[in-house]
Amino acid sequence: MTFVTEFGYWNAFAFAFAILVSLLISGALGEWAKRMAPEYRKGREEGKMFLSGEDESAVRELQATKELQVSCHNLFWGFREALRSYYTEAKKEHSGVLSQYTFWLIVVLAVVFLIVVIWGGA
Amino acid sequence: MLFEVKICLYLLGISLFYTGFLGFLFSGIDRKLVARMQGRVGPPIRQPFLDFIKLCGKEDIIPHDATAWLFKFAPVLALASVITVMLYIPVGFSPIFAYFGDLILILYLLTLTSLAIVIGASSSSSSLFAALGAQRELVMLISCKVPLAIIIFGLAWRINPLVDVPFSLLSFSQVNLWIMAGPLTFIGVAMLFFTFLCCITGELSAGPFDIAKAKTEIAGGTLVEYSGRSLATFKLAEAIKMIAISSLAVALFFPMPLSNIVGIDGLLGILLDCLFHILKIFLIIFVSISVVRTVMARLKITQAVRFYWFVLTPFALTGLIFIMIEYLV
Repeated sequence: MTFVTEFGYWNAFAFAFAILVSLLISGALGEWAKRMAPEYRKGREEGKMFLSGEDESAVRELQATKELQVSCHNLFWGFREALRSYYTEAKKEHSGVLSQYTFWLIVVLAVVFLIVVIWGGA
Repeated sequence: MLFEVKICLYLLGISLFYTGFLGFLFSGIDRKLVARMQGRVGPPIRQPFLDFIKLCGKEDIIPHDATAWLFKFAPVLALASVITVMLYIPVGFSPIFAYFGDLILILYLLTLTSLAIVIGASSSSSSLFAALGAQRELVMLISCKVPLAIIIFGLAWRINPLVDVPFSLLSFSQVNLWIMAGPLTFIGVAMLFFTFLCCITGELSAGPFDIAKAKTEIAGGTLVEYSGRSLATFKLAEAIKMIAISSLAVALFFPMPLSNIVGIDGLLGILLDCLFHILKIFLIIFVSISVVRTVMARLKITQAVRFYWFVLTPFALTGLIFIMIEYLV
C-alpha cells in the first residue's frame, strides 16, 4: 500500500483517510462553536465589504471599470517589482523575430548537448 | 485497537488538543515577551485562549459578495491540513505516520495551509484588502519555499549515503548533522539552520514578513473579512502551524532525545523527551519570531522577495557548498 522509492515513501490511502478525518474533526469543531454563537442573519450592515471608511458606491464604480480590481495579472506583482531589472532585460530578447528564437533554441541545445557529453562521459 | 481508531485518537488528542494548546500557549508567551522587550506590560499569557473562546461565541459573518461555501470551507481546510501534518512530525516521540510519508509530503501539507488562506481571502470574500493580502501571501509562499527546498534537498543529499531513506524524518534522528564530519560541515549546517529560522519567520508571516496581514496598512489583509468561529479556526490553524514548523526544525537539526543521554526509558523517558522537545521549540520560536518581531519593522513585499531569493538563497547555497566540499574532497 505504501509507495516506496529509493529516497522516500508515501502511503496515499493513509493520507486520504487522515485528511478526511481531519476535515471531519475541523468541521465538527465549527459545529460545536456554532452552538455557542448566535446565528448570523443575512442582509445586515456587517456583511458589507470592509473599506476602511471609503465611500462604497465610489469604490463599486471604480471596481466596475476595472481600475480597482486585483486581477490575476496583479497576483505576482511583488515578484515582477522585485525582479524588474531581470524582466526588463528578458523583455528585450522577446523581439518576435522567429530567426532570433531559433538562434536561442540552437544555442541552448548546444549547451545541453555539451553538458551531456562532458558529464555523461565522466 | 484498530489502526484507524488510533489515527482518529491521535488526530484529536495530539494533533488538535496537545499542539493546539502548545500553539496558543507559545503565542501568549511570545506576545508577553515581545511586550516586555518593548517596555510594555503586554496581554496575559492566556490571552490567545480567551480570544479563541470569545471568537467561537461570536456570529460568523459572511460578506454579501462572498462565495459562502468556499468562504466557510477555507478555515476548515487550513485546520485539517495542519492537524494532518502533525501525524508525520515528531513532537518528542515518534509520530503515528512516521512510515507513511516523508518530507515532501510535510512540505506539501504546510503549503496547503497558506493556500487555504489564499482561497478564503481572495476567491471568496471579494474584499480589496483581502485580495491584496492574498496576493502578498502567494508571493511570500513562493519566496520562502526556494531556500526551504534547498535546505531539505541539501540535507537529504548529504545523509543519503548514511541512511536507507534520506527524505524520511526518521533518518534525521539516526545521524547527528552537526558532528558527522569536520568543521566545514558544521559551518554549513549552521548556515542552513539560520536559513531555516528565517524561513520559519516567513512561513508564519511574523515580524518583518507580516506583509500579507499588515494590520496597520491593509487592516488584516487575508483575514480582514473573517470573524467568529471561522476566524477562530484560522487562529487555531496558525497556532498549530507554528508548532508544526518549529517541530520540523527540531526534527531536522536537533532530533537528539534526552532520555538516551540520561538513560531513562519507559513512560518517564517519553515524558522527559516531550518536555525537552517543548524546550527546544520554545527556543526556536523565541529566536525566529519573538526577537525578530521585536527588533525589526515590516518589510515591503519586494524587499521580502529580494531577501529570500537574493540574500537567503545564495547564503543557503554557500552553506550547502561547504558541506559538499568536505564530503567530496
